[in-house]
Amino acid sequence: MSPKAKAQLAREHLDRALPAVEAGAYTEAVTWLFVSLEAAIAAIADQHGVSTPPKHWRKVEIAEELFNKGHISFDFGPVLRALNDARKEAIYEGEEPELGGRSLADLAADVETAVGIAEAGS
Amino acid sequence: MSARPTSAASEAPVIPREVVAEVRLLIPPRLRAAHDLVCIRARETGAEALLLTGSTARGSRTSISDLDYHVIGVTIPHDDLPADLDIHVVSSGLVRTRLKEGDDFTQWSLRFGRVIFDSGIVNDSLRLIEQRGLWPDVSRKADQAIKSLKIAMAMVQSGDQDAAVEQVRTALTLAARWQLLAARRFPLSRAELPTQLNEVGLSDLAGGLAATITGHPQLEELAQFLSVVQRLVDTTTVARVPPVSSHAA
Repeated sequence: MSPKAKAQLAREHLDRALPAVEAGAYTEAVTWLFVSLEAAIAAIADQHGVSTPPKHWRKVEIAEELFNKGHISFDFGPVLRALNDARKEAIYEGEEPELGGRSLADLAADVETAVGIAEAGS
Repeated sequence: MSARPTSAASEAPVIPREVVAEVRLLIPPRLRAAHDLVCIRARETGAEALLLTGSTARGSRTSISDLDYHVIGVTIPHDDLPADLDIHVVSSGLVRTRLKEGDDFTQWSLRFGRVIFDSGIVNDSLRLIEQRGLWPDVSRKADQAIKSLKIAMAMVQSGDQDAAVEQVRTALTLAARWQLLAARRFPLSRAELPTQLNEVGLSDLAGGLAATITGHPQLEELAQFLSVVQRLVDTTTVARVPPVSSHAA
């Protein structure tokens, strides 16, 4: 899939997440935020010639790598990790996820930043 | 019930060195150093028990497996550890509550997890399960499966295949666990679910789940797999509606 398509998907996923964030529907919110950020990271990585395998944990490492190499000025690895933990907690255990002291709106703002970077580079 | 032997109440069982070493061997070599850190940190934070869980504990890892732990205690620092470590934490006070509420995840860890250390709470909890005949809440699992199905359907419609494969796998896994619990079969690790499903006659669900574990199905196939779950949901919804009394009129 082209980087532009991934950036578009990232935006569309974010558009689905935001009403859930607003409503406090945490399962939907963290799930759509998570896939939005994954798609944004994949798009940014592709723009810098880095391939992204489907495994979640590899995407966390790639987000960290993009930051460490100076391709982006924000390390989205911890956000991706927090969202991955949160979505598993919500969907598999049916519990309100622990967000490490952050709010859904905080996480959504970080994801929006990543989506903006992905769109700018596409 | 679990084959794990239980000892006297509140007695801290000694986990033999060879068992601890055996558990370590279940872990992929690249993750063993991280495993050692988890063990050290869990002890340092005063955890009452640490269990290796999930497919690694069952010796059934696949290429998509995480490395899962269940800590009974408080959160341990893990931001510097590999991202495929999944450390679930539950306070000791909540373990009994979770079991009584019908949480299958906690019960899974106690039944099938590999104990790395235990102050006695694992044994006590297993005894509680045995004495009260505790079984996970089937309707709770059904609700989780239905919620996950809706998200997976939307994900397939979004056209993001990578995300859709993951979400469909999740929906099928939850549906599998729901159906097996309803059939009074305790669901094992994800890779073992297709075999269990075939044993109870749910071969369509088994086939779909196996395809999402070992392959990368196309969106059309994923939609078909979800239709299998939708049929199960429809059947159950009909079954849940109480019959209309002949005296109602």
